[in-house]
Amino acid sequence: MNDAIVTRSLVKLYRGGRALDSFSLSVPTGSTMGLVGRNGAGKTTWMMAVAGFVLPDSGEISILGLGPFDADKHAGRFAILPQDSELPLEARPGELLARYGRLQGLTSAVADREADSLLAAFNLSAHANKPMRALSHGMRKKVMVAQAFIGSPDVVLLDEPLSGLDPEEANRMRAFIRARRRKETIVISSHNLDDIEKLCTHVAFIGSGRLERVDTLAALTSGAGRLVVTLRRRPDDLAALETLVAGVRVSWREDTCELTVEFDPATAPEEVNARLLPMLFSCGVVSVSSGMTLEQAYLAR
Amino acid sequence: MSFRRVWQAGLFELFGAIRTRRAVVVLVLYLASSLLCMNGAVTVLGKMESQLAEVLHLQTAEDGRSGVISKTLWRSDQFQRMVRHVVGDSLVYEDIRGKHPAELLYAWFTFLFVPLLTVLIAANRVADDIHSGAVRYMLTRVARFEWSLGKYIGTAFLLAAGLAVGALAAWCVAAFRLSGADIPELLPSMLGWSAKAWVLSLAWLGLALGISHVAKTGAKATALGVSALVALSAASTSLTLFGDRFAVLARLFPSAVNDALWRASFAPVVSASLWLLFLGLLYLTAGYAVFARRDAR
Repeated sequence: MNDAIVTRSLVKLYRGGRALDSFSLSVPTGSTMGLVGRNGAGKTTWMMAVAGFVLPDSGEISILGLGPFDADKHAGRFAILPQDSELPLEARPGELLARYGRLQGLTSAVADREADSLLAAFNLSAHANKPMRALSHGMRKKVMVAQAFIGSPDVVLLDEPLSGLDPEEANRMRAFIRARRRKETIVISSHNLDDIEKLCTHVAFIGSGRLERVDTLAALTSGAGRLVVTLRRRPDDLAALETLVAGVRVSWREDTCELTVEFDPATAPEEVNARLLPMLFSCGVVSVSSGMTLEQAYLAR
Repeated sequence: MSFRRVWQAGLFELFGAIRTRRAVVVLVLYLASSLLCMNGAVTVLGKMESQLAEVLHLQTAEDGRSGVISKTLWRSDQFQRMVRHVVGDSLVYEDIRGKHPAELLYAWFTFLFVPLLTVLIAANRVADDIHSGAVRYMLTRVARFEWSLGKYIGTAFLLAAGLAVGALAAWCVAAFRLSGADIPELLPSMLGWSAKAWVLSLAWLGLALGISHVAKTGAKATALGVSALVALSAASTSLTLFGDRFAVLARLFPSAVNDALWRASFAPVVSASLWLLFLGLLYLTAGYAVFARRDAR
């Protein structure tokens, strides 16, 4: 079995339209998949459908090759950090995590141990016996993330795991997720593309309920067939640049002063540089890069 | 379905009730209502006794507490004839005759208030969790029906504790305000009536939780639950006006089997208890059936 999650042709209709529109996505076992898309693109709906919270109108879902979520097959092997879901406000984090552990089949001793270990990992041991109501938003968020890792499930879905955390805690959380990457197949939904880039091995771009593109992070951000030249000012004649090398397309981004050059990946970048750069010296060449950030890849999709 | 997970979900519900102090509210509610009702009943009993003593020129208890004459009155043929007429069911009458008036008063007001208290306590339990999203932390660990059944079991435990406290409180009032050597014997009897009231509450609990599965918020669920309680009680009473014609339909309402719980013999109480449990699970399952086809969002 190569895919921890397989979803095929998922359709979810809401009154406002199609939240998922024949959406198919497979998440390779052992990967960390980032879901990227604008608000309402369908990321959360997909996660909720996989978790069984949302019932799709049609399509197929299989988790760990065992079909859609079924407590008999998946309890303890699948977990989620749901979006906009409050934990019981009077519960104490230590007790709560241990009880969740027992619910998913851990013995009391193991559940207590797991709860202690997760609270320590999230720097929450000192707050283990305080009611959730007394914790800050960031601390509550950490308890919410911690509950998803009790019992080391095989698959973990995290919807906006880093939102609401201060920079130090966000860094600690990133380190925790990175450390768990080999143990669990993780899917992360986030609007922060920098986080996705730091944490994920695979990325899926989602738009209007459809999968637009999915690939490894390396493939999405590689520089094959693309150069980004940062200039002091816009070249006067962009069309003239396109005549220099056959099949070249150029575009200008005013806010970042970046000239993006796209060409046939079979063409050596040195060849493109040799012909193009002399024409750009007059515009003040600041830097030339062949790779791109995930944000650039997303915006250029 | 895994009974271990259902049990754990029930414990989770109970643990939540203790942590949120909902358990304390339930116990205080039962304690206060028992104290108030029993105290009121004993006061009425005392006034009746005083008037009776005055009319019949009888001596009241030396310590000034009531109970002795009331009991004599209760056992008098004239009064028993009147009670027989009020009860209607001769089998029920035979079973309750000779019981202490305080015990019967406790049973009467417990049976009267338990449905309302149950609905008020339980109706928001599912709707609130769905509305706040707390349910999502449960549903990757237990199946939806296991969670629903866990809610039922956890809340049933809470009601049992409330009714036990209620019986204890009522007995304390009786012991403090009534005279007579048989007062200590009232405690097990009152606990017995609490147990029967708990069985009755299982049906109303199923109704309240069933409605809670359908409602969008806890407040709406409570309003719907109370409305359903009133509607079902009214419908049940209305059906009795038609005699036996709608007997089968009437049995779908918990109040229709109330009389059997007043019996002393084993068989009618057990069959009524099983039927009430069945009704509770039926209402719960009906609500769950809607929830099973609904997004938990």
